[in-house]
Amino acid sequence: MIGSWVQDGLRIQDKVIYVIDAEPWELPGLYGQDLREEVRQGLLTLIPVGEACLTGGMFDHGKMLDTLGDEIKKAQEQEYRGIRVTSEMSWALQQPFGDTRVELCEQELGERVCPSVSVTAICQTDRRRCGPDQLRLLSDHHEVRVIPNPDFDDPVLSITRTYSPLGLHLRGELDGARHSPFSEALNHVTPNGETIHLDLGELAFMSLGALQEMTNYTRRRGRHSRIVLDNVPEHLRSLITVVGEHRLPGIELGDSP
Amino acid sequence: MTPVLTHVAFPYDCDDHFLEAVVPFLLDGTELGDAVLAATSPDKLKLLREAVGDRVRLIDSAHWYDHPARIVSNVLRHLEDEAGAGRRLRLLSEPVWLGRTPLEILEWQRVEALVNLVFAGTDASIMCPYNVNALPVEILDGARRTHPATVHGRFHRDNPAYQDPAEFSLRCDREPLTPAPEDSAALPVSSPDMRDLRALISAHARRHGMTGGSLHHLLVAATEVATNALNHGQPPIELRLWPEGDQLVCEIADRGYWHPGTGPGPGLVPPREKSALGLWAVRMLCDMVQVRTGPAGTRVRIRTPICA
Repeated sequence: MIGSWVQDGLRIQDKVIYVIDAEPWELPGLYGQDLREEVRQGLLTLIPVGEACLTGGMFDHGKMLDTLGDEIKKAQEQEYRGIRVTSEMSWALQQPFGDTRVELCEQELGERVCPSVSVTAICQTDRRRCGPDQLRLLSDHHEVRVIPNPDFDDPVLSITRTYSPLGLHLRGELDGARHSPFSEALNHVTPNGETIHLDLGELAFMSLGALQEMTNYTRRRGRHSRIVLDNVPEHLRSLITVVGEHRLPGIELGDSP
Repeated sequence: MTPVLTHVAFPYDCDDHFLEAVVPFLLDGTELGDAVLAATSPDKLKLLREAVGDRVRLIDSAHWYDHPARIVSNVLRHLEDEAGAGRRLRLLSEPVWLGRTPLEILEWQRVEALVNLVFAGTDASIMCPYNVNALPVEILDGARRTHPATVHGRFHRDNPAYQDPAEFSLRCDREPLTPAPEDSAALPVSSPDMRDLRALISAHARRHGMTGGSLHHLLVAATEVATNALNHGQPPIELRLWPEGDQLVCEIADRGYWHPGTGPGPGLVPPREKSALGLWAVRMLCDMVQVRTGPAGTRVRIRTPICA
């Protein structure tokens, strides 16, 4: 998702400011795409994390605000129509008093940007590394939560692609009425027979037919094909235990919630 | 040489008689390098522990025989694992008979018959002791009809009363089901989206104190049966739900005639295709599943204990 957002911004000549320790050819979602020319033109600015916001190894919200403020001001002077700012922030939340510092940063960033300027900022957060309070804090300070476009979405079930690990995130209820989009989404995850992960943390119901869709998938993809089930809630784990893992060739139970 | 299953009933009348046949059966297995298991009552386990020590895995029947469909699957799994390690399975199998309801006894007798089908073509050796002084005649009669041979001393004799296991199993389902009560909850099923069905079952189950794993198993089982009816049966399809004693009964009926073929009945033998689940998995998930099919239609009744 973040790769497409950066790429779209560059395509329409928005200024992109990215706080990240990466070279122009190794941005998340754009790995292997050489963006040195965009950096040379000033369209893309990559700022190493240490330079942008660290003091003595700790997240320094004042330094981050100064860094972003300076870059945004420069972009305004250069008359960019739109400015896109992004950084991965989960690590800062993990530090002592990290959530307080990130909260201050969030509060003040809005105040520092002139309302007439079109600035879009995405704070990237790995929700697996955040507790409920931290997610609530992030939610309080952001008008919009950006999530990837799902492969399938209706009031009962949503299926969303995940990239690290490669697989699908399922939310809702999966029964015979939705086996077909599920099977289709499985087939589109990867063209190869490699391992894919299904995050079942938000799946309230899964039919026996859905388990069979999974075993059909691994059988079609060959004997090295695996589906790893992550964040399996207790009720689904119990279902798999009773049916027997040995009855589900190619299916493995992965990380627990 | 084709492997041959040994499944024998051993009628005994006292502890000495029990040990006289059982101890050599178990020790012969250890000497041959078999994987040897003995599942029986705690008092018999005590006697066996003194006689065979730790050469045999001793298991309390009350834990081992807790669910008819799951025990078949568990033993099959054991057998496959041991075969993978180059060992045969030798099992002393004395289920808990007393204290069970007539329906439960019927299902456990059916397990004895199914052993002859599920483990056919394997070299497993299974001895089933029956205490002739403690068990009712119906249970002893079931043992006669479900074991191809009986043990007399150290010898096996063919059992003339043995019945074809598929036929025995079909006879277990001969009794017609009572009609669903007039005032039972009802819901027509016409779409593969089974949310309404699950919502109705959940509401009734929670009213009777059923939550957690057993409720979820029931929801999965009912969804599977209703989906099967929709895919393979004839409309109208209807869910009925009612409490009966200490059980919640959930029935899915359609107008289709399900021809079970020549087997012991639908979903009773683990499918050959490992990943095939269907009614066999439904039987694993629920305490009891009754299937009746005929020209008037098919009814699948799932019984789940209620807690309150």
